[in-house]
Amino acid sequence: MSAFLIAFNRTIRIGWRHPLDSLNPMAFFIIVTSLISITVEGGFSATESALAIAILWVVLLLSTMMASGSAYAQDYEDGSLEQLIAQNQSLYISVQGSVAARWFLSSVPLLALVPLGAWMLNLDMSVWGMLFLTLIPGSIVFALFGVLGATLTLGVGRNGVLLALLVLPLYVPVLLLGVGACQRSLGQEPFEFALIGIYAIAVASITFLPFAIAALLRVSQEY
Amino acid sequence: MIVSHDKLTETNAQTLLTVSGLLVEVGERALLTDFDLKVEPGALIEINGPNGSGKTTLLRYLAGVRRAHKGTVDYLGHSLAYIGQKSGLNSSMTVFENLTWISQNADQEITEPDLLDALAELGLKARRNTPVGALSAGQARRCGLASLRVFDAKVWLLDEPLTSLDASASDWLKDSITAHRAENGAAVVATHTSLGLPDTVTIDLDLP
Repeated sequence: MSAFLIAFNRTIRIGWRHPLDSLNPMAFFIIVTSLISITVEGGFSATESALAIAILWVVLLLSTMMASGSAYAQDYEDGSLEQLIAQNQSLYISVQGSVAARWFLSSVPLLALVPLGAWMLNLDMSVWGMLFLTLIPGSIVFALFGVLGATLTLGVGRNGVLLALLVLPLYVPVLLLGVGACQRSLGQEPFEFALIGIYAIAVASITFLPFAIAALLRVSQEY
Repeated sequence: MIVSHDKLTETNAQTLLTVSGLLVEVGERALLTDFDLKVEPGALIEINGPNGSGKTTLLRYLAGVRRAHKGTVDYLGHSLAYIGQKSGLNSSMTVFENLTWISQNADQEITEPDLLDALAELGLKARRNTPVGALSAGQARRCGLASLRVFDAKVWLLDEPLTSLDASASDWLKDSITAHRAENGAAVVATHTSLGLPDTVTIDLDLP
């Protein structure tokens, strides 16, 4: 079995036994979008759809950060990470498998909630397609950067604040491109540049970030 | 881990592991300098020394968990099994799932009957579907040691393997090491308590 499938299966299996790791970000997503929708007097108007798009993106980003904060923490604590490194499997491929499983466990359920959030925020349905077209690659990048941040802080202990400080700036380009593409689509303006940009970042992230994550996992064993 | 192919031709083809000029350090603090070791088939090497002398760190270098910045650790193509102080087992996965993952991770095909045999030897067959988190410390340690049966590895690296083990599990471990040596395998063991097996080479480490 390939290193990708071994890591994917294992992460799915462990995630399945810790359902709160996926349910908590989903609850956060629903609570925040519903609170925003009921606190805006009279609800969002059609002209405020641009604002609703930005809110959905930011809430999805924060929900993903909640989900990825604990990546590899248990493996670090129980010595599974030592075994992974000692057995000289391709750590790069293994990281890809693990991140893919994390995206499947955490981001896919969040993406499934996006229509609910879009409905609560009275988002114009004409932009729902573009929202998904950008959120799918965007959520992949968010998941990868989240795991990168988590591996940076392995062994630090309660790392929430540090993780946010380290990773938040990395999310900004994707956030701007994704929100920009949706808002331009809403305004009937050209959005191709932003769309190509977010997919290019996603492809580059899938290709290169696992190298960085694998290197950080090795460094975590040096101390 | 730096693998020197030049050394392969110079070294005795029987040698399982050569370490030369290894610098063992924690942070900026050097624990061992110019450490050399050659492990031949059938060898049992015990690394002794007080707390903080670098036994565990040395073993982590040998296992490739830590990378050698100076010196080489060369397995000459042989495989290794490493049982560290941490269990290496996920607490929410069952005994059977953990051992299956370890065998997959080591790129070794192992059948279910073989896995069950290994568990039966350590009295864990009935607990095969129990999450490791629900086992006692000693049972979890046994489960980790059962992975030695899972690996078809020539060199075993064991860090304080007797910790938490009762008499029967300690005897099983000693018998396993003896059988492994008889099959031209070798073991490097970091321990405070000698296993008491014959023809043991002891390396004493001092505090730096």
